Amino acid sequence: MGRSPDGWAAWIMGGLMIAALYGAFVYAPRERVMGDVQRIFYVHLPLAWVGFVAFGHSAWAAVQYLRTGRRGWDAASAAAAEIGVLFATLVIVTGSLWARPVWNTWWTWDPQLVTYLILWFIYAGYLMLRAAAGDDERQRRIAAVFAIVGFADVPLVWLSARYLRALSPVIFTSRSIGLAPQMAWALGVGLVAWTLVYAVIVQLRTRLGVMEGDVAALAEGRSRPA
Amino acid sequence: MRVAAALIWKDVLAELRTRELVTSMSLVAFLALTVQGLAVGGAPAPPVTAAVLWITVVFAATLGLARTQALEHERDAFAGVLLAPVGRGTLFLAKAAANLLLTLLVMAVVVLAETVLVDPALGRRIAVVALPLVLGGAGFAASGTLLGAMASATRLREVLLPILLVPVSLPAIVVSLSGVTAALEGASFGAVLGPVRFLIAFDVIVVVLGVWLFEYVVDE
Repeated sequence: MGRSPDGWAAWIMGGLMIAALYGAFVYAPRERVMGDVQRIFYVHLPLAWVGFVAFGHSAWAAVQYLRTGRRGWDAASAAAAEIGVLFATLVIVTGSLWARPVWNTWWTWDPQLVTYLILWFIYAGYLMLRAAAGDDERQRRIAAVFAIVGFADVPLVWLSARYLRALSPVIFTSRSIGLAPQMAWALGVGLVAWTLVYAVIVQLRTRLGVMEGDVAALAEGRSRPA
Repeated sequence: MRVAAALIWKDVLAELRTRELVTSMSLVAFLALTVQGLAVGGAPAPPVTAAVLWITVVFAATLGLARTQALEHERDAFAGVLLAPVGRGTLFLAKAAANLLLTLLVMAVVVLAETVLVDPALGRRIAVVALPLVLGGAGFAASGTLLGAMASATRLREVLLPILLVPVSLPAIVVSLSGVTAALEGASFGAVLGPVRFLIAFDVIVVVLGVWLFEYVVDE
């Protein structure tokens, strides 16, 4: 695992991010109804996409860890969750910042928002599990199980949230956004750029996690009697 | 099958002898209902009644599930259970069944107390309310069984259980709320079929996940 692939990836990522920012703030036309505040969408949607991808990554790595027992998978699962929760937090924050001027409220209980909130809680639960777990093999497995359960749960939350409409009298129609071609381009570049940001950071964090495990194993080895 | 029945009977017997779980959960439920009844006042709207019902059940049932987990760890009793000649999947089903009985008991107490203290309509419509309520409770109990075993193996123990359980069981709670509210508004059995179907699917998914994953949680 040499340094040069990381270097290339980081440079490409940087270039794409600049392109994405240009696309969001300059290239994309001003939205007719919402005005310039709509530009937060070019960040909000890619963040939401990465938030889901990160959790899927964590759950997939968890399955592989339970299957093979190799520590690398466990490190990947933990790294994906750590970074995913950051993206998920930003999604909720940017969403609220967007909602306030447009809908005159910080929050609504519609399916997308509820699903994302629960995703955030599941991330938080997973991280608390890992924090309380320590370095025990069984407790790492337990965290992996929770990642899988959580991943199965998110689509169920999405489906169940539709029943909320029957409860709440406030109806928000789905945010259908007709995209002009320039907007679609800006969004596309943003999606690729942010996904690459995630890929670069999660790879670094995973490698760090594996090294942390190695250090812990070495420390144990030294303290064991000869 | 007989071993599974014996495992369920063990939990029931332990509870029958002390009655500590049922007593404490019922008292907690009463107290929670008192606070909510004071806040809500008389003649609440159906969504409010449903909300009070489920909030109280989540509160009391989480305490009960946490307690049953703690009981397993007292004097390492669970090691004995693991020696039973059954697959881990069957073990999960037995524990989930025992937890379901506990949850249903709590629900009965809450429904009774809430009918008296908060909203008589709950008792009048109980026939239609029961189905989404019980199915939601089943999903809650099943996920609580798997997650309870997970939480109790960590340093934080049962404190972690509500943090894990509420997000995971939220689909069951939300849809059950929807069904109970509809029932309180006068819906017939046919009208609550949508929520009921969803709840059955959720329960099946959770049970399958539990049967599959329980061994990774309990085995050393």
